[in-house]
Amino acid sequence: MTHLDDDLRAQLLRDAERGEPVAPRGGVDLEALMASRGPALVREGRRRRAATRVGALALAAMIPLGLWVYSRATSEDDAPTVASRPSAAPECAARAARAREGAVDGLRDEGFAAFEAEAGAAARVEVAGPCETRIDLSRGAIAVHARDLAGGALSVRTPVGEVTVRGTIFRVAVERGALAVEVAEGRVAVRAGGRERVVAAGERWRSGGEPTELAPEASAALDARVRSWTARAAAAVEAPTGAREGEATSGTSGREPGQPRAGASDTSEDTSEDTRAAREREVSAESPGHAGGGLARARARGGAGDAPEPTDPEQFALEAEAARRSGDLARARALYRQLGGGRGPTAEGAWIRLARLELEQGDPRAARQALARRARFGRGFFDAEARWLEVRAREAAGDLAGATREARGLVEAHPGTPQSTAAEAWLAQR
Amino acid sequence: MSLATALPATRSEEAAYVRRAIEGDPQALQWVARTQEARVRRLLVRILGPRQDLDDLVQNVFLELCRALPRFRHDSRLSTFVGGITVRVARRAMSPTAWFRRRGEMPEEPVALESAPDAQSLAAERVRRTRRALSKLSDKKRIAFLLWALEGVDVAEIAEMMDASVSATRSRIFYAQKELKRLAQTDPYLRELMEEP
Repeated sequence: MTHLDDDLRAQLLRDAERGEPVAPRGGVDLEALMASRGPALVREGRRRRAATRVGALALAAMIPLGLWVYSRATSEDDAPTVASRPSAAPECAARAARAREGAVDGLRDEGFAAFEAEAGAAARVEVAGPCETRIDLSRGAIAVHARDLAGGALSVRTPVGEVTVRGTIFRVAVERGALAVEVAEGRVAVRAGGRERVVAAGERWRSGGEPTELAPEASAALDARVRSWTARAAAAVEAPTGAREGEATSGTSGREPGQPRAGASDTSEDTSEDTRAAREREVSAESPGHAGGGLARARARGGAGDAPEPTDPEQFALEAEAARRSGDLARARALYRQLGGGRGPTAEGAWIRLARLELEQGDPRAARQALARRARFGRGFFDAEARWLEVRAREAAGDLAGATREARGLVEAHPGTPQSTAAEAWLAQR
Repeated sequence: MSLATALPATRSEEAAYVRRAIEGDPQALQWVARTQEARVRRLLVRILGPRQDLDDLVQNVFLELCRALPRFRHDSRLSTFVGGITVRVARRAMSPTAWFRRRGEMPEEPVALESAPDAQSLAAERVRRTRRALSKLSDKKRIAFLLWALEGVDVAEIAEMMDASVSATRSRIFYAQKELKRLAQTDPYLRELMEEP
């Protein structure tokens, strides 16, 4: 509480009056001074005041002007650069622009790359820059197929380390706090624990250890799994009903001239039991209510099955797979043949599936016939797989010389692929 | 009626003179000097004590007043406006420039008393000791207290003169007063001052 002592004040006032009288005026004639110099000083003061006002107004005007100029300059610098600013890698910039940010739930195909989060995985795509896509994987596993980054960067970041893509097929998993990387094709750079290492094709690396050899089956499964995504995308593109015409346009635009074409594949081995069951449920649920269906064509060609005919290649493939697994091989064969009569990688994949089915049934001749039907696609998308099936079919038929010749041709034509690795192992045993 | 002898009786008359002074009218400026000089001189003595350069400081106050007059907004008395300029000049005199420091301190000029009875000597000594006791405080606290206690200016006007809020000015006076009372415990002159009614 600021209490001011009035008694003290009164006493001091008296003391000041008594003991400190003001000195008399000095010799300066203040009135004369004011009359002579005063007007000039007043004018000077007025000028100063005017100048201060002008300065203040100018400053007040400059502040918003400066802010406007700054915001303009900043917005030009920060503007999206894909279209307006020439980029060092415009191709990758254009591709990365198609990446969508957000959680990865199941399969995601971004054109330049595709990735599939496995069940229980927590993954999210972030566009870190015009040429940089990042996948944050905090839990579970994700498989990645970097098709053509065109100079851009794709990386998977986990709590344990970071995996940078060099253009490849690989799988990243966070297993009980450790990071596991499996590479089927190409190579990836892994940075974890302050160290960076390169994991090459056919290698598996787990944090805290050295890279080990990846089992050929695992590699082939991963490769086939990734290719099946493309097949699924292509199937959507080539839907005969034309219902997905819009999707088809966008899907084909992502394919580069030198890039392998997508196709249907018989890669059911790599899919989990849950996924298979889900697909079967999907097929069985859709079948009864299919409008305008009927098995007339399917029966006419294959003579099997009671379910209505599927409407698009994707459904064909799923239904054929379901029929094969349920033991309805006649129906599966019929559907594969019907599918193989179409165009594109879906049809190519159908012949591969049929060849594999025939091999499993111990009929190498029928398998080779299916492979012969696939031959019209040339190298196509599944040439390596077709050649490997040819090796196995000839071996099953007793044509070891022909199988050896085919195996060597496979190694020469597709070095570094899982099929080539398997062929080399087969040759080494001979 | 000449300006030299005319004194404003009302605030409106004062305002008329001030308006003319702001226009640079020499006679109006003379009137300002005549009516305000005594107060300026007294304020300077109360704040700084008797000084040899008092005339110079008074002159500085009025020269500065001429430059500052265009800023006068007519919402306070001229005396308050002049008091604010006086306080600024006094504060500058409290913090002498390098040139003044080089010249050495300005010794206090002894007040010329016609007679020096004991009561007057005692009062002068108490005021001197009061100033010395307050010398350790900041300029703002010291000036606020001296204007309040030795010149009798009310808190609101001191606040306007020092360009501060009333509450801040009260606070400054309170803490100066507190410091003075603390020092009075060891100073017989000041203790006597506190004990007097």
